[in-house]
Amino acid sequence: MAALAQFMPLLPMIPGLVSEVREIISILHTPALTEEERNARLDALMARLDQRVAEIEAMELPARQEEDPNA
Amino acid sequence: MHRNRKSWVCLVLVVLLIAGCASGGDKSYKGLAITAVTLDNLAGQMQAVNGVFKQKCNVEKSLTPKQCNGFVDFGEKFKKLYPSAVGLWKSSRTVSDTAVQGQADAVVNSLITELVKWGSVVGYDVLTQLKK
Repeated sequence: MAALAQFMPLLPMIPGLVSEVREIISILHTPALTEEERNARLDALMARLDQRVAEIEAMELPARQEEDPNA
Repeated sequence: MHRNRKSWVCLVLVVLLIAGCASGGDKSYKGLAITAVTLDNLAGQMQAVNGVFKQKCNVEKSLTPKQCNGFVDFGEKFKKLYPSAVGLWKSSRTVSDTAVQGQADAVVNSLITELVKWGSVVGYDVLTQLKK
């Protein structure tokens, strides 16, 4: 159980990718859109990306570790 | 457990294949939309992998300093390249330039490839611990 618990943080990545594949397939199968509809969808995606950029810029990386020179 | 790691890598490859096929032609909207979805998801995946590394490097101390510092190097690179890739995506949308979009795709693909590598580093260590 302890080993399974350690694996748990990885699990959210799998549904994320499944939803990405679904979203891409839905884009590929979307019937022809008007220019207005296309612009509206791209505007929404751009807003999401702006949000993501802010999140990535604010993301705190792990603290650096001191490496053993004799290792 | 091993099957889950494999399916994660397979899904990334499928995404790359689909994105590559769609952006190859003149379907500029679909190409742009797919690159944006991939960029969006890439950020989420990076945050998730970063969370695992933080836990294992700074709390559990279950990874080597070399592994942790290697991921930090990648993370610093990611923090510089991700906004650039989004900037390229915005430029390619504004000027409808497929060459610029290709540059954005190239940055995204290189980041995904490296992120998969770091994800599997964490997965490998989990499997090693399971065998103990």
